[in-house]
Amino acid sequence: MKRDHNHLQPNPDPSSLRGAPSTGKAKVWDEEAAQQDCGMDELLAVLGYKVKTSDMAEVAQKLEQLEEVMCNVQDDGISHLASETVHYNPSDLSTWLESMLSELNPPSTFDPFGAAGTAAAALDDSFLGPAESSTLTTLDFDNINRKHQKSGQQIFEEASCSDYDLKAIPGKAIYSQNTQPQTHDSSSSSTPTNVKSEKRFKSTSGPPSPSDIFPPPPPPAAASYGIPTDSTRPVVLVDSQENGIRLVHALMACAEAVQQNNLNLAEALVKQIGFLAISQAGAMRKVATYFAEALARRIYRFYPQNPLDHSFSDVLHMHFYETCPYLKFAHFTANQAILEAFEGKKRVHVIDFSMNQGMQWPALMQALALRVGGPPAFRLTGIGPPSHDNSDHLQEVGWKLAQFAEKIHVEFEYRGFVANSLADLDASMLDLRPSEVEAVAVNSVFELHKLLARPGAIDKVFSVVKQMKPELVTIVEQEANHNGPVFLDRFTESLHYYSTLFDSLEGSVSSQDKVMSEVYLGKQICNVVACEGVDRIERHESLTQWRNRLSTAGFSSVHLGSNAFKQASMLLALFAGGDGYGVEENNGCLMLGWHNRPLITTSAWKLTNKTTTISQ
Amino acid sequence: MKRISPDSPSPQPNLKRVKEDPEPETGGFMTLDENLLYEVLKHVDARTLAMASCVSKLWLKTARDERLWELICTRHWANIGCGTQQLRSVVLPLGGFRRLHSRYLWPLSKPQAASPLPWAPPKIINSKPPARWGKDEVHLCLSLLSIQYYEKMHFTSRRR
Repeated sequence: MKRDHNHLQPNPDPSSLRGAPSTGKAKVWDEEAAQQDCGMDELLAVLGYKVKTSDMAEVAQKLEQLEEVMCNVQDDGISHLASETVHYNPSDLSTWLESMLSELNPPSTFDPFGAAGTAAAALDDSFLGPAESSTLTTLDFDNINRKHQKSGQQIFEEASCSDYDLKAIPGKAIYSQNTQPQTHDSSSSSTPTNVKSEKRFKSTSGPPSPSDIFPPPPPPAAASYGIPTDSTRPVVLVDSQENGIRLVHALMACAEAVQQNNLNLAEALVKQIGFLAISQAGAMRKVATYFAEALARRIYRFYPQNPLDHSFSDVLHMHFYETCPYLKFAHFTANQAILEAFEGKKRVHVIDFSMNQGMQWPALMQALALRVGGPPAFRLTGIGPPSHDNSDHLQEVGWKLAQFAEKIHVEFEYRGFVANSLADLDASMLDLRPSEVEAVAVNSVFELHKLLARPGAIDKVFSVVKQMKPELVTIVEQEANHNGPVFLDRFTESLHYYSTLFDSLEGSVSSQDKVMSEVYLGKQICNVVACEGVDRIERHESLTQWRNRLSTAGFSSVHLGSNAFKQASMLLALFAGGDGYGVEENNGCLMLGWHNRPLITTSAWKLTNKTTTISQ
Repeated sequence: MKRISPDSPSPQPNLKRVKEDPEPETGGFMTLDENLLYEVLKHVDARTLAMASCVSKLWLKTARDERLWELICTRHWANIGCGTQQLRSVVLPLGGFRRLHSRYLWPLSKPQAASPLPWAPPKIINSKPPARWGKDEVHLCLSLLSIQYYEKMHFTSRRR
């Protein structure tokens, strides 16, 4: 059955869009609005290509065909293609493809699955100037097809296994098997005119070639394509609303390509992601942009310089503190636990692994000042990374806290320790006083996961903590597993996690705060995706994993009381957009989440065996 | 003419008399002694007290008295276990009761209206006196007050 395709008209009006996608979101929407009437596809319009929405199916198929052809051409090493190039204006994608295909012979067999992972790549590869060539000998698709088939299926599996938004991905090129297959003269040298009129390729014969079915779908009437069944493969037709889905699909495909070390494919996909991301709005756009950047860094091996300017990271941290309740939640819940542990003690000592600006401690000092019987003597040891500008950052913070303490009449003592890594610490450095005199609490907010980058570091730190003989150890960590051995798993997990996180930021009021918070999170994304080995410090792990680690190390869980829960809930109520946030209790630990997805967890621990004698 | 809040107690005789007099300078509340005004304002609710500070400079000065706001705050909150003096020694240096109330206690007592700014108190619709504040609310507000104070202190001295 000869498929009659809509004749592809050359565009009467020259493309008014320039090749480069517009930078401003408003501009994109304006252009898209202008495009609506012509029935042009909006996504491609952003890229500068005018394609009628009704022609999308055929354009997609032809792109796939073209890509197959060109892939195999490269394998055969046909260099004469490169020598003579004629440049056609690719903005009228349909006719350009026709002319391309007419110059390169159509393949005899065609694997529809092969295009799954590479359809996106086709957009990039086919932008090369078409070459004039006469004939091509029989193209052997087998190896390429199998590889693509595998990758296509893998993409399918990965995408369908993921939950949340990824479940919705329909965007794989699936061809309905109901339509009758075509037969085609599998002669290698077809004349250009033949090719122009018939576009289907099929081979049921030929043992070496896989029995691929490539029946063309009926010409679509509308932009959205029909619902595919499980065993079929709809053509990738992009509704403007489905750009987001396609974007996620592209991200996953790119990560998969990176995992398989298929860097060419990954490179092509990353570029596409960049364009797709611009067409999105809001949180999705930002997340996609950060992930795309991280992927690009990984692909091009352009790793981010790890040690940040300290003052800049401080600023980012502060903005993150202001914009959303995560850090506040962490501080409040940890403080409540520490307060309860310090009940009745006359001298208390807090060792803070995550000193930063010291934002956690004014509230604790105030609470201690107001407790029954008056405040204890409060001693604080702050540990932080070295600052790069020769200023003694920790000392400044200590000074401010001292001033604060003086205001509210709390006896205060401070010491700051600079350490590149917590594993460099020793209990002897800290000038600990006997535990009858001084009660110790250890606090760590988003610091412990960094130790997982070096083997043995976390255990050393745990043993040092045990030497401190704390009444309580409070730990706040991200609730996600970004430390799995498989890159793709980490990528998927972090994509979900940071999408949720960025979503929750959307409701915030101050745009400057929001932007800075996003940069702050973007750095984490970059680290999770682009770095490896000791550089990858954002090794988040879930509560279950931390529980295992801590109980193995000799700590047992302390339940956070209902006071902490109530305070946390009220804190959230005060935040704009407080509807999405929720506090959950999980076996004594408190989790803060956005729309039922837990994002950070506060937990408290004490030593399982508290020995009274001082151990070596 | 200055309106007497319905919540204030039955005014003393001299106040009733001068109510007729329109001229601000020569009589009425304006000649009211600070101390008397203070005594009167001791009994009003938060809203009234806030409105009173809009009347005139004298009223502003009096209505901003921390002791009045301390009364407003502590009148309705649960016993948090510390003594008055202890409370004062903490709250006053950190910004005072008026700020504690307007920034934190008052918004917290409102139903969860999503206010445009995180810390701005939402529009005052009803004139009900605020509900009783539990221990946790009070502690939360005190913590927020102290954080806010620290932030200002910390960042005004740094480059910002």
